[in-house]
Amino acid sequence: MKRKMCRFCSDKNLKIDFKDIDLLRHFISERGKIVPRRISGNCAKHQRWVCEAIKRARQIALLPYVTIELQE
Amino acid sequence: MIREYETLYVVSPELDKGGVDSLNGKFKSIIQENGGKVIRLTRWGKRELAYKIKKFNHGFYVHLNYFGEGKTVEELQRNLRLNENVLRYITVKLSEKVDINSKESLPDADLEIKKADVAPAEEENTESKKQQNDGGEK
Repeated sequence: MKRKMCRFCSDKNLKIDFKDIDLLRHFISERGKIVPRRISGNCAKHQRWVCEAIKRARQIALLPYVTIELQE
Repeated sequence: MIREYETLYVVSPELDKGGVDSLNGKFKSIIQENGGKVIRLTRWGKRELAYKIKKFNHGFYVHLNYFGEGKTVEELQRNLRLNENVLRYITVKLSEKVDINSKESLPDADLEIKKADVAPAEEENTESKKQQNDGGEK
């Protein structure tokens, strides 16, 4: 499970866009943190792009900076 | 030098649809008056914000795709900043050195809602999951 090929290298048609939050949601944790490369399996280049896209999406409130737990 | 840009901005939910449309028209004319060309304006409609802005939970998202120069962007951003109804905006450069005639202006559009949970193969499963989720949240 850990050894995973970079999704963006294996699928060239997949574009990283800050507006595509359905895609970016795969790369943030339940708390809204960016998933590290060792877990997401992205290559360095694409992780950098994903990171940038998530930060842009956060600026315009498409993605959260933090997620507060509702219960417990 | 003409470049391709996109700007996404969030408008206050206190405005009605007509108010948002008149704002959109204003921003489009600003682009045109400053040596730019609007390719497409896309209304994303009222969406939930990921976090509260000025105590609002929702906002109208509008996406602008256009050609322009530095001063076009400068003037558009200045107007977005000054307008109290604009909660957030972001401008991203899409490409350098484009020919202004390489793309035609397209009419305004509404974003098609593409939802992963409408996938036909898993329809039944997702529906039952949805109900569970709804119950859990309440």
